[in-house]
Amino acid sequence: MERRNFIKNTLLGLVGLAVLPKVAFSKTYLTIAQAQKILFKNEKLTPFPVTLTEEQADSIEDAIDIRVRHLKMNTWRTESGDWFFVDQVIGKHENIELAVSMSKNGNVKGIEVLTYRESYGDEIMHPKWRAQFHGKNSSEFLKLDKQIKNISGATLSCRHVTDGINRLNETWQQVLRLL
Amino acid sequence: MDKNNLHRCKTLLGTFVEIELSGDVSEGDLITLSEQLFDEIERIHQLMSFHDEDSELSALNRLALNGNAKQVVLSKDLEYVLQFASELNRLTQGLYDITIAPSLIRSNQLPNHLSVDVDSIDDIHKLGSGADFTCENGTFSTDKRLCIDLGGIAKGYAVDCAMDKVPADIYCCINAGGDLAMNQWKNQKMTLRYAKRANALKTVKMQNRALATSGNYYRGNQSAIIKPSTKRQVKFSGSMSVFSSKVMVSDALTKAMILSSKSQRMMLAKYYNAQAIKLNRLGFVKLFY
Repeated sequence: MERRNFIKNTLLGLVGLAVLPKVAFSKTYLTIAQAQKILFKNEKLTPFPVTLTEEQADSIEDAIDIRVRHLKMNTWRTESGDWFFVDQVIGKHENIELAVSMSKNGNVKGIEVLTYRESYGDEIMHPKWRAQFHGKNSSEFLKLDKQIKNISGATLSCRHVTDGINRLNETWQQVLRLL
Repeated sequence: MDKNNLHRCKTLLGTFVEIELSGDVSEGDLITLSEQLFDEIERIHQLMSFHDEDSELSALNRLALNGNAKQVVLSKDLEYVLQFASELNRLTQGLYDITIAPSLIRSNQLPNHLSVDVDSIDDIHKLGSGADFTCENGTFSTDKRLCIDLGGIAKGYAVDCAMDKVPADIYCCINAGGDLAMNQWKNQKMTLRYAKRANALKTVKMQNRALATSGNYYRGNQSAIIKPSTKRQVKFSGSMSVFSSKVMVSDALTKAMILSSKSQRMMLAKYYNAQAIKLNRLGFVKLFY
């Protein structure tokens, strides 16, 4: 019986892959420059690239049990020492790019969603898929997506964004605070 | 002046809240307006969040669970929402019930920071229901111990409150996790999602200024729809969408319609001048209006 189910599911899966068009819902809200304007008004931001070491990433992961996917952080700072991050969060059903502003004391001041994309697991392994984030070449993949203006469906939880913010808080606590 | 557009998304009300604005004003003015709208949504969130231990709802729940909820003075917003929930409870003979929080706590869909006793279904049956409280002249009273969750209505009310602040000459669409309102809705199209898979989408024309959709497809094996008589989850596939003039009404009606019979659905749609679209998991449509 198990074998029969296995064969049935495999066949259905293969048919599904061959027949169904692959569409993913995506939305782009703000550009990085717009988010900076909203979060920092007219304050001048200077790029301040930070790369975590493997040990730092492991230590952050151990402290909060949330995976650190990228060692290289997209970070900016103002003259007064406040932080601006562009970060990527991968959830169960979604792939989100966030802009976060943080005061120099490590308090999160504002969060903006820059892009929201649905994901179905496999495509996040694709290097091109990941390259679209961090302000890179997003046009290539957005063209492939079905652009839908407004969508109404079951409520999605934003828990993964909260996890992402916790990860940034811990990164500040362990690494950025000392810079 | 040229037409400017602004499209922002923030995490509020436990979900993603999108605001789209467009009008003949400067981008700076649109940003200021969007800030006001997000602030208004956050204000309602702080009043009605079950998760937030400091919200007005949590304070009311603490009193109601201790059996001390007599003539509790409510804010205007909470009074309005509770009165509407009470009216819909009467109209659906108890099918729409905001006191199902204990069942949601039992299935780990809500946190138990109020320490409600939910070890068995019998414990939950001992608590009061949506018909056991009164909400009059700005005060809340109940004789029974009960626990309220406004997860099925507060998002809609928050969108309504924000929408009231938008000037008529600015196009605005606010979408709070599927509960949305649009001020210039005529001839606009809307996509409804009825299952988790990428192509489970159906495009329909907007029928009214507000729309809400409920479905279970992101919840795995769980369901947030609880049948009040059994206090257990109701599993259903597909989605239920309701158009009406207020998002709060649409939001609450989706839950009531899922639990109702066909004739009750017709009656509710007629009473609230709403149009309901039920999509099954394959995308077949049933209309109720």
